[in-house]
Amino acid sequence: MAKVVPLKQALIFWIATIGSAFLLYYGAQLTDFLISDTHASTWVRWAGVFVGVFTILPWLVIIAVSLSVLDEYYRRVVLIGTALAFVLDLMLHVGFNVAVDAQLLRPGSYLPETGAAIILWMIGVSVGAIYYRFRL
Amino acid sequence: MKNRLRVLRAERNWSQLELGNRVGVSRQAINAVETGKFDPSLPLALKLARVFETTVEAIFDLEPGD
Repeated sequence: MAKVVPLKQALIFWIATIGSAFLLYYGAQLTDFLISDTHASTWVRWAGVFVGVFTILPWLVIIAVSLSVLDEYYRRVVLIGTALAFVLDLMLHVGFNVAVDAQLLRPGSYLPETGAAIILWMIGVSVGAIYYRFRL
Repeated sequence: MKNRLRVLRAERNWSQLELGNRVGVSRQAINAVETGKFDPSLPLALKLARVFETTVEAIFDLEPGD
C-alpha cells in the first residue's frame, strides 16, 4: 500500500519525474551528438559517455523512491521482476552480439539500450505480478 | 505455510482492505498472505498478531514440507 504523502512532496516528486524523463530522453540525444563526430577530441567523446551514463541516474532514483513507498508484497514483486529483467537484458545483449557476429544483423547495428532496458523491466515486473497472482 | 487470517478477519467482519489499512499494507498483500502466495515478513506477522490480539503462532503455522 502506498503511504500517504503531503501534497507539496507529491508535487516535487511529480516535477522530478517529468524532469528525469526529459533528462533520460535528451541525455541520450546529447550523448549521440557528442560521440557521433569521431574527429572530436577525446574529452568531448568522454563527455558523451559521461552524459549517457549519468543522465540515467535521476530516473533510477525516481524508481527507487517509488519502491520505497510500496508495501513488502509489491516490493517483492518488483524485486522478482527486476531480477527477471536483468536476465532478459543479459540474454538480449548476448543474442544481439552473437547475431552481429554471425552476420545475421549488419555490423554496426544499433541496440537502443535504455529503451530496451525500460521495456524489459516493465515486462519483468508484469511477469512478477502475474507469478504472485497465480502461483499455487 | 498455512494461516488463520481469513477466519480471524471474518470473526471481526473486517474486509481485506480494512485489515490492510490497520497493518499498513495493501489489500493485495493481505489477499496474497491469506491465500498462501506470499509469506509476510516478521514485522508484518507481528503487526497482524497485534491487531488480532493474539500471537504469531496462533495465526501462522508450518505445513509438512515447510
